[in-house]
Amino acid sequence: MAIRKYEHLLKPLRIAAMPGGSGNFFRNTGNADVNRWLNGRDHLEGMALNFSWGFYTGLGDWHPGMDPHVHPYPECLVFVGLDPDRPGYLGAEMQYCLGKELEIHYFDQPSVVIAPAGFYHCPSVTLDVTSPIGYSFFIISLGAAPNSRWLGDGLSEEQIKRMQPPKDANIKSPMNSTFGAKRVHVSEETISHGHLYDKYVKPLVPNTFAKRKLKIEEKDLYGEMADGRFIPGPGMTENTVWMFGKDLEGMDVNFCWGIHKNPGTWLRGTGSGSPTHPKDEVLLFAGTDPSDINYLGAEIQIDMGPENERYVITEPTAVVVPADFPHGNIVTRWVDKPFGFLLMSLGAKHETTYVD
Amino acid sequence: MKKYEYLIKPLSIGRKDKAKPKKKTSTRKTFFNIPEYAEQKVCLTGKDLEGLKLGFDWGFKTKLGDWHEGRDPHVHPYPEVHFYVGLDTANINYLGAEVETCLGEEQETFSFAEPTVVVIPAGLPHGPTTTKRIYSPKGFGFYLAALSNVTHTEWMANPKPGPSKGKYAHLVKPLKAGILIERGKINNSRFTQEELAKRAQRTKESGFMLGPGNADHLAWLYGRDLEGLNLNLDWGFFSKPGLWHRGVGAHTHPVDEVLVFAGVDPSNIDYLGAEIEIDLGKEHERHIINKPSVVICPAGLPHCPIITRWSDKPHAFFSINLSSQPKSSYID
Repeated sequence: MAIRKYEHLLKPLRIAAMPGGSGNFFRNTGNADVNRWLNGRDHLEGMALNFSWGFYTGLGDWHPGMDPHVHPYPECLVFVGLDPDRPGYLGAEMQYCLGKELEIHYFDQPSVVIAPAGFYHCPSVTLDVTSPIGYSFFIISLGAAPNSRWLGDGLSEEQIKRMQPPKDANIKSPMNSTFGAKRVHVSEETISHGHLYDKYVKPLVPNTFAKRKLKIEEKDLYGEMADGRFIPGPGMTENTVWMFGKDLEGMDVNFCWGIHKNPGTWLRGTGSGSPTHPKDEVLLFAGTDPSDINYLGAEIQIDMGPENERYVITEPTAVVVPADFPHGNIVTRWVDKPFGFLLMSLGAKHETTYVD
Repeated sequence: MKKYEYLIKPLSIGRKDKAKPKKKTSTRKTFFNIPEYAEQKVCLTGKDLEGLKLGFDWGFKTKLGDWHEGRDPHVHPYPEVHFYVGLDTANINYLGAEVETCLGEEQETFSFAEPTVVVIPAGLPHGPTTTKRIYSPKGFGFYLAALSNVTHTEWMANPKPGPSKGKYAHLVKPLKAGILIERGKINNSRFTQEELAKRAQRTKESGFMLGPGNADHLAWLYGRDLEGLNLNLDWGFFSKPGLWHRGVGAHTHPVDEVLVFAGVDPSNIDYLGAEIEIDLGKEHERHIINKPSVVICPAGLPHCPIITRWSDKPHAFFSINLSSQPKSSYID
């Protein structure tokens, strides 16, 4: 079968399965039971973005002895529940350290943790998981290649050896790790209980025009999408939360997250017009069955390019949308199991223009 | 007093740590190295269980080191089954600790970091048992079933753990081999063809199926998994309200059984976090359980349905049935 013109922009999540699996490396920790991590360098057409998606049920420190750590780029660490009817339910209780002060924070509802470039963050500790299916977590990092500098003083030589980049220059490491010369000890004595970084932990509360009427000043964040021509269709979910750069301490990113459970078009009134944005973005369609990360549970169609070439998505997939590329008219054809939708756009606003 | 009230006992009657002061905890939980909770445990014997020929222990392990401080190995004249289980109610396959236990006169050492079941035949020396590491902020759980109505322990006080040569490896079994329900879905591979046919027939006749209150995750081990012991027992986590089994009412067993409803909050072993209704007797006498409790079901006593009325926090449930395979007669 001939390769279609825009097929290269649809990336099944399975392409990013980590060699050897990430599960064994962080066995017996709070880290992911299973996850996928796509990066701009290897999977996203060079975009300055890397992101993860995974399912979590474990308790404890996510990277025992390794934290805090830093990245050369800013990132959002997003904790979400898996119940489509309870957007305020995370199903877990988290403890998170921020800054050189190791300021400790707690949350038990869906939340985003903001980590500016070079900012110390973690340990991340799962204190409890109350949902019988656990919860999900995704990272949105504004760099094409994942890169971490580990600063914890509990790293053994054996761990450091395991995390060295492959000797074969042709093999690209899914995470480039380096290690701080000066290590940080984390304990009850070294953490702090201040409020310096409260601004970096924000709850996720459904807030889009699918749920309420936008204020005039908010409409500017969406561009033509909110100019009154369009209304939410049956395929849209009221539980969507949209965080813009202004909500994310000025980061040059906006993201939208929600769990969809009904068939139908997502926006009514678009006709044949397709949205474009001046910034790159990625649309992730992900399943919510923790026992099978490769199961979407729905069939979704999306038009790509000025030709409105139609693509049908039946497995968890990231759709790469370069700047100014027409895409859209998303229609959910059927749903066997609610699925998650995550939009990551590399601008502080989601500026949208519709083109015929 | 209701007719069958004496068959329901709070687990607190078996508290072994009443005299210990509770460790003062901060208003906020934190976790960096090991859990901040004091260990808590209940031990119930045949005397507590209306003379049934069984006993059980249940408790939370939150400390590192040797469990019996130099007194092991020890031996009992009856068989036991030990369950090392996690307290992560989202993941029945997570232990959150590394444990070492020794078996036999040779004190063969076995290490595990996942939920594990250890079968101890009558007269087999066992121990020392040592918690090497704890990863979980909640620690882990330990439940023991003993096939005797009285406790008899001979301490040998000669701990000399040796390497594992495999002689007793068949006695150490990962709990995951017995998973029957995971994330609310039945694992049919646990049943024989004959058992599957029986279940299908019952479903056809009565609409028998799992109800909404049934387990999120459950492992069930039969005599065939337990070196031929006349015992079948399970371990599971429950968090949802509703009926446990649809299409059936009460049932009986030809052997004695206990049903244990236990909480999983390591800061308070007396907290269940749910309200559960169970009928006892052919009269369907209704009883309400809202604290950790054991329900004693002597052979032939009709019991069930079970309904979770509400659930604030997930809880654990285990049953101990004195037959190598569950045999139930549904009476309504």
